[in-house]
Amino acid sequence: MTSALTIALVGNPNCGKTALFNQLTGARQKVANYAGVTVERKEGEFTAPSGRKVRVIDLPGTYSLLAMGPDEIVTRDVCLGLHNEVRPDLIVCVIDATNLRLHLRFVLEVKQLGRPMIVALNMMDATVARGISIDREKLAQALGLTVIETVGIKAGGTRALIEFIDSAATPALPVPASVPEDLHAEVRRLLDATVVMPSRTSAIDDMLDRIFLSPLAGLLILFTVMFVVFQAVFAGAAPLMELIKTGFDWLSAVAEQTMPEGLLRSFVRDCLIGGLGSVVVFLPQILILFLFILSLEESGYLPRAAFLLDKPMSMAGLTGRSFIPLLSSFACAIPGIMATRSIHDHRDRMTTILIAPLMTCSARLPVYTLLIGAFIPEQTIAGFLSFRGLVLFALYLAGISGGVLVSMVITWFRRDKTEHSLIMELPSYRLPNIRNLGIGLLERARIFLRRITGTIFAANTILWVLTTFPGKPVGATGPAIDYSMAGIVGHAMQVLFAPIGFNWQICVALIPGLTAREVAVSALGTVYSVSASGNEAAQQLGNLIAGQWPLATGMSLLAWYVFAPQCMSTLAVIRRETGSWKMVGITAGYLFVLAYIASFVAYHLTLALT
Amino acid sequence: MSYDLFQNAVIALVVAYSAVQLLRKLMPQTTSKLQKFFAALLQLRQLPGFVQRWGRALQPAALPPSACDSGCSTCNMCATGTVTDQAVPIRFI
Repeated sequence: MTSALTIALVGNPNCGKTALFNQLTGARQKVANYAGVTVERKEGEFTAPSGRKVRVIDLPGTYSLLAMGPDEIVTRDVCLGLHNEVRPDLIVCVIDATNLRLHLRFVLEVKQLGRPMIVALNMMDATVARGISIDREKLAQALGLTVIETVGIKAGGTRALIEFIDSAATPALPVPASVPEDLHAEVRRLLDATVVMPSRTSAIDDMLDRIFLSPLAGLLILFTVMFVVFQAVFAGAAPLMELIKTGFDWLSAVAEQTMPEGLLRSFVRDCLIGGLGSVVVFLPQILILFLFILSLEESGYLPRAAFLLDKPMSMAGLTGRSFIPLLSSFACAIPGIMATRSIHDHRDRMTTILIAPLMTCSARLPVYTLLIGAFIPEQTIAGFLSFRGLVLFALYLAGISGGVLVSMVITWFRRDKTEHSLIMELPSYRLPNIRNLGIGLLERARIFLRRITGTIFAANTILWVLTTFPGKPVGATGPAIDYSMAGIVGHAMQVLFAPIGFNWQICVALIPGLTAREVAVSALGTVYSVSASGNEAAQQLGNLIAGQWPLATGMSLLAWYVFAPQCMSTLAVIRRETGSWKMVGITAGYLFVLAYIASFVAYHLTLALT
Repeated sequence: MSYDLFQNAVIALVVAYSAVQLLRKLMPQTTSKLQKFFAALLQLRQLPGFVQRWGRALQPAALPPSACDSGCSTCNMCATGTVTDQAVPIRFI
C-alpha cells in the first residue's frame, strides 16, 4: 500500500472545485453556479482503489495568489505553506474548460510556485456541448504539466483524476525555468496552439443576457421571480401543511386518551406535540422556498441579478458584490455574513455584515406564516393572487428596504464616499439538474428536522420546565402558569414590551427565540398549551392566538420579526468575522431599536385604524 | 407510585440532555473545556477500568478545522464529517 497523500483543489472561482470535492469525498458541500460560494477551506478524505488514503482540501476560488480578501488569503497560505499551513503533496489546479482564457493565467501563476501540480480540465461536458475542441496532450506538453479531463457534476467524472492520483507517486516538480513576462500573452499563445472555439461566448448565454440584463425588462423579470416565489410558498404548501396538522391533532388526541395524567403527559402534549408540532408544519413551505433558491443558484441567474442591482445598490452605499452575501442571508444570515469575505473592500464588507441580519432568513418563515395565517384573511386578489402571499412578499420587501435604509445612513455618516465599481464574472446559464435539486431539498429537510430535534427541542424542553415549575401555591386563584418561573419573568418583561402590544406570553417566547427564531413559534405553542384549559388545548396555535390577541399585537410582532436581533448564532459569527465586540453591540443595538420603533408604529397605527 | 418514579426519571433525563445541548450551542468552547476536564477526571489511574472507559468516551471530538462552529446547522456550509465511509475504497463499475 502506498503512503497517504494530501491534495489541494485550487482554481479561479466557479470552476467546479467544490463539485469535484463532493465527487471525490462523498461530501455534500454547497455548490452553486456563481463565484464566491466557498469562502473557507473544507477537508475530506477518500480511499483510492489501491487502498491509498487521500486527504482532499477544497480551497476558496481566487483569480491570483496576490490575495486581496480573507477568502483568497486562505488559498494563498495553503499553496505557499504560510502561517503554519502544511503544504499539500499535490496541487490540483481546477480550470473551467469553457473559459480557458481566464483560467489558464492562474495555472501559469501556480506553476511558478514550483510545487508538484496537475491540471484538472473541468466541465468537459459543457465544452463538448459548445463545440470547443481542446488538444489535451498538446496543452499538457505546452504547460509541462499533466492535464486530466474531469466532469465534477457527474458520477464517474473524476475517474481519470482518481486513477492518476492512485497510480502515480508524487509527480515530479514542474519546471518553472522560464517565467513568462506577460501571462496574458502566454495564455493567448497557448490557446492559439491548442484550442479551437467556434465562438468566444455561448450563443444561448448572449441571447438570454440580452433579456435578463436589460435595464427595464431585467428588473421587471427579477421582481416577478421574487413575487412568484412568495405566492408559491403560500399556495403550494397548504395541502401538505393541512395533512401534517391533522397528523399532530391525531397524535395529541392519542396522548390525551392513552397516557395517565401527570408530568409525562404534560411534556408529550404541551412540549412535544404543542411545541415542536407547531414548527414541523412549516416544513412544506421551507422546502418550496428552497426549491426556488436552489434552482436560481444552479441556473446562473443570480450574478445577473447582482449586476442589475448594482446601480440601485450603489445609490444606497452598497456594491453589486454585496448582492450574493445578502442573497445567501435569505437562507440564513450566517453563510451570508461569511460570504462577505469575497468583498475585498473593508468598508463595503462591514456595511454588508451590518445589514445582512435584516434579510429575511428561512427561520423567520414559520413566524411570519403563523402570524399571517392567524391574522390575514384568506382572500384572492384579481382572482388568482393570494393576499397572504402578498403580505409575505411585503414583509420580505420590508426587510430589504430596512437594509437599504441602514446602508444609506451608514453612507451618510462615513467620511469616504467614493464608489467602488463592480467587476463580476457572469457564469454560463445551466438548467438545474433534477437529481441535484432533489438531493438539495432532502438535505434542507434533514437540516430543518435536525434543528427541530436538536436546538428547538432542547430550548422548548427547558421552557416547558420553566412554565411548569414551581407549581401553583396552595390557595392561589390564578392559572398555574402565572406562578411558574417563565410566568414571573414574562410578567416582568411585559413592562418593557407593553407599549408595543406584547403580552407576557410573547415576552416569554422571545427569550428561547434567541437560540433560533423558529423556537419562538414552538415556545408560543408550549406556553399556550400549558396554560390552555378544556377546549383550548385542542386548538391549533394559529386559531388560539387569532382568538386571544388583538390584530394590533399580531401586526406589532410581525414588524418586530422583520428587524429584531433574534439570533445568537448570527451575533457570534459577526464577532468572529469582524473580530470586534463593538460591531456585535452596534448590530444588536440598532436592530433592537429598529424593531421596537417598527413594532410601536405598527401597533399604534393598527389600533388607530381598527 | 412506580409510574411517578418512571415519569420523573424520564423527565429528568430529557431535561438534563436538553440543558447540555443548549449549553453546547450557546457556549461551545466553555462546554468543550468542561467536557475535557471531566473526561480527564474520569480517566485517573486510581479509578476502576469501566470509569476510565467512560472518561475516554466523554473526551470531546476535535472541532472541525474550519466552518463557523456556531453549530446552527442551518446553512450546510460547515466542514463537518459529511463524508461517506472513508475506509471503503472507491470502486469503478
